[in-house]
Amino acid sequence: MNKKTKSFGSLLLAVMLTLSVLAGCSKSNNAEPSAASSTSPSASPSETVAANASEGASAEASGLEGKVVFWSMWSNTEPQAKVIDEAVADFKSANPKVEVEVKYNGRDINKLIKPALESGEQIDIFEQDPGAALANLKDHVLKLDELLDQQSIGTDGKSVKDSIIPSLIEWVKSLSAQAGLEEGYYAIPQQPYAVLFFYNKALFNKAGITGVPTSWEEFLAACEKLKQAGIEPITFDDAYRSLFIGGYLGSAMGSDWTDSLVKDKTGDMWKDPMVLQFANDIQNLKQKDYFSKKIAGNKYPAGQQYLALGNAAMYLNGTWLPNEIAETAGPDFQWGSFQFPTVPNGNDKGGQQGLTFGAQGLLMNKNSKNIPAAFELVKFLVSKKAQEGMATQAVAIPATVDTKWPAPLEEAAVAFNNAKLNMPWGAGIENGADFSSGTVIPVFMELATGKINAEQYVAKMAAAAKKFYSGK
Amino acid sequence: MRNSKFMQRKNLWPAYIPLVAWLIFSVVLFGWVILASLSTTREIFTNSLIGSGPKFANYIELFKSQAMGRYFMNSVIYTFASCIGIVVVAAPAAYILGRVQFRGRVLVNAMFVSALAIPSLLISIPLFSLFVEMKLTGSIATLILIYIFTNVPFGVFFLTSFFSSIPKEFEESAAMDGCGPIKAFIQIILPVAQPGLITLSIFNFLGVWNEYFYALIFANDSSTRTLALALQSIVYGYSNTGNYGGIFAACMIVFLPSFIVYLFVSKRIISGMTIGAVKG
Amino acid sequence: MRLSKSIIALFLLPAVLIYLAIFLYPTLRTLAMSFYDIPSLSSKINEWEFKGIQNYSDLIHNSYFIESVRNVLGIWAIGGVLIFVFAFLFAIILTSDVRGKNFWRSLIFLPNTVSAVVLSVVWLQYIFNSDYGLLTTVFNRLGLTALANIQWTDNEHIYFSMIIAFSFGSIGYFMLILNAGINRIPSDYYEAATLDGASVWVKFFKITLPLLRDVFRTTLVLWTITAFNFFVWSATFGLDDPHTVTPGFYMYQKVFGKGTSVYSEEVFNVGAGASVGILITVAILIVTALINRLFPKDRLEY
Repeated sequence: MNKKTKSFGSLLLAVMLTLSVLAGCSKSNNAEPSAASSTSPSASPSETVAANASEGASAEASGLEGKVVFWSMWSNTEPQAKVIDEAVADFKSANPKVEVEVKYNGRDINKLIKPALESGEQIDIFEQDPGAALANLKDHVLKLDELLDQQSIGTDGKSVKDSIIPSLIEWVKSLSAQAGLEEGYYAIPQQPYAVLFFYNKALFNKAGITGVPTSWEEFLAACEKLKQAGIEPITFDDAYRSLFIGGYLGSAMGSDWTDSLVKDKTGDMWKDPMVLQFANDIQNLKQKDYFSKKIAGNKYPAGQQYLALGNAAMYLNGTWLPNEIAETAGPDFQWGSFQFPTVPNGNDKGGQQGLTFGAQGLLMNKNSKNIPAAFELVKFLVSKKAQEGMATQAVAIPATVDTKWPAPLEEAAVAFNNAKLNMPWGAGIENGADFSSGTVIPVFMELATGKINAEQYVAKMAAAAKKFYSGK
Repeated sequence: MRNSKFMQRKNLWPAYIPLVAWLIFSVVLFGWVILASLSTTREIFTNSLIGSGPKFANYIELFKSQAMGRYFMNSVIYTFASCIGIVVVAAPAAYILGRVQFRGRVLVNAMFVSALAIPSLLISIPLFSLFVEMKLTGSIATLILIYIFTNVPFGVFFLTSFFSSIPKEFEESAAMDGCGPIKAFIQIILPVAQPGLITLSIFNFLGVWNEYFYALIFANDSSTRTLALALQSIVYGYSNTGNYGGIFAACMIVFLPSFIVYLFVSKRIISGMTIGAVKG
Repeated sequence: MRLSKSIIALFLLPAVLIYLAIFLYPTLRTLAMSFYDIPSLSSKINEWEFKGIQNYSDLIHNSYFIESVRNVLGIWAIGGVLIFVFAFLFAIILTSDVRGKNFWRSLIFLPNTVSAVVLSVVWLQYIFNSDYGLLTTVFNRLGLTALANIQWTDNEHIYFSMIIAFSFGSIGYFMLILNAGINRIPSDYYEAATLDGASVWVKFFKITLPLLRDVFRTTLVLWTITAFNFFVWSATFGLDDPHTVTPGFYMYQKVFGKGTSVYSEEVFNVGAGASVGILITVAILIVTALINRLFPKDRLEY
């Protein structure tokens, strides 16, 4: 018992000591950001060091030293972690004096990163969805504009900025304004994704479908052919129900409209003819048995396994899908993909030019003590070699230009090229927060499983929206 | 254990009905997990478990890519240290709360219940910030202390009712033998409360053994990582690569040792109880 | 019993100090947070914006949250009955003279030793699967096609499916506590009653239940805490489906978010999550007080 109290006493002592140390720390932390945010004075010395490093070409040992800590969003069992390990090993042999620590946090990084950054733990590089990171971690992200001009690794003299797929790097830039930051680049996109219909080419061939459907009419025709061939046309899982609603309405009216639909306090927007058209079309899909019967009870990953086994032909999902079901689908599975078909009577704000796409991002801590070495490591992480590794080992889309895409995702390039407008997840249908999860998605399921008809759907949604928002 | 509690053996057969029903269901459920761990993912989702014969590849791959042995030892150390620590701190407090009248008792009691009532989610992040600021992350000792600290209120709460229903003759006879309160507590009360202490330790054991959030924060190096943390990372990683056979194999690797430990400890409940009975 | 103040202090102090160090600060912080609009769980206090009871009144008017409260009360009641009936049944059987007690006890406790995430996968992908799942197969064998065709995880059934799956995993835990409690009842009571020719039921109601009062109360409080914080199974079974959402999971979403993004205009407010946490805490304290009322502590000396 005595021992216990003693150890507790020593802990208390430690608390006090560290608190007093911290008081000193936090002062210096406060002073630093102001210097860093004015970019020129504090950034220029590091700039020159970094510039020297890249001039000295990556083959020779650089003058970089110190320690770099990288918090990764992958867990150490994921193939991405192996690619990162290889990139770090390459970095180390080029920069033997730099000590690198990689911490594989998995997706829990989303919970841990902010408290860790705020309490001053050494984290020089971290990985997160840039949209989330810029919203949450505004005060910690380093503006990368000047660093991005450095020469990239393995891409024939291109700068880092030019080595990345242009639509992605511009998208990252567009996020800075939305987050209320000074315009610029705060993240380097990698692991790009897009939401597309994935389909089983063998089944499409069997049903005699020659081209991918681009309009709703063609889509229905394809469904009919599949059904005639004895194949269930469409399936989806509970986790991705919103994508179908958003896919249709976003294709018709664009994501801004969808966004205001789920936030409409009067409920009147639900009486828009487009909603009725949507409801009728869904009802039609249900009545003609184009939806798999199992959508009512599909629990992730049951539906996508069903697709992998060749029981259903199409599944609306992110480009990570082929990787997620590779074990089941096997190497001979012929993947195809196409964008959500264009819906008639729309307002031309969606269609094939709008696409839900994005990427994960590599970000840097603005309070990093070792920016030159850290950025050098970043360059290795987005080097052509590492991105090729992501493509081959993790079936991910490479972020660098002129890099071969993994075979299952080859057709996805069409959508990336069409995309002019970035749409949020579910084309904004989830932006209604509690209203989206509590009403929009479950009522859609009632419609898609034939519990209510199209007119009832419209009436129910209009009333539910009014009721939900009247309390606010 | 010869003496019958309140059913006699001859008319006991109905008691076996629910037991056997439970047995059958458990065999199906866990049998499925075991077979799934020996199957490919395709076999799992086509209902043809071990259709091509049992495969140990899932296990071999795990042991090859992950230092399961070391994680196991780490988990054992953290778990046993924490379980002992919790009892050492919680038992005396519960003893006082369960048996002694003093001013402020209601308050102290309410304190521990409210510590249980507050969702642990809301405790973990402020604690994390606190410990990062104290530069205490990355240390095994911190992790063990955290496990002890966060489980003490439950331990106190759980043991209080066990202590409160021990007949007071125990202390009276101890007092007559000239035992001081500390000696009486250690030599007489604790042995009697053994079923409660062991039950509590089983819960703590499982709680700590399977805990992963604090482990992620405080012991996420290849040398300090726990089994539960490895499992979580495997479940994450493998579900993103669709390797469900591997997930079930990992689950078996984490589950088996904890179950064996449980089997071993649960025997002690019986003996602990008989000690109580003999002394009583 | 009386003990000197110094002994009381010596025995209590470590636990109390731990409480003060580890729980008091986060609890008070959470209470304060529930009155503010806060962008993140670790936001510094100068980022907080005072909103009074706005967070609470928003919750009361939020039909999705109200649904979650209804769900959790159902889980508490239905799951509670399920768990206690079976836990009691098994606890009593295992204190009788059945053979192989240790084996049975371990078997019933078995599901508790497996991670909830993995158990959920088994229930969702095997037992409730509408293609080849256990239930479907069994009902087909029995010729009950109507039951076999049910999709156990669709909107209509997911709630009860979840309660059953969860209860299966929790019976062993409560069985173990009750079992330890019954084991401490001196066997002379039962022997005397048996000599008097008392039936099994009389012994159960006249001896076991009254003498278990303390343990039973503890177990009820524990169940209340478990049920009101119900969260993991809600996450694995329903994601954020209103049929399975609980305040615990709702809070998790408010605190960590599905992913805050620069897109979502609904600004992230951890204060809302904190107020849910406070409501859960208060609800548990109230129910605990009620339970203590119903099962007062005037303990029977035996």
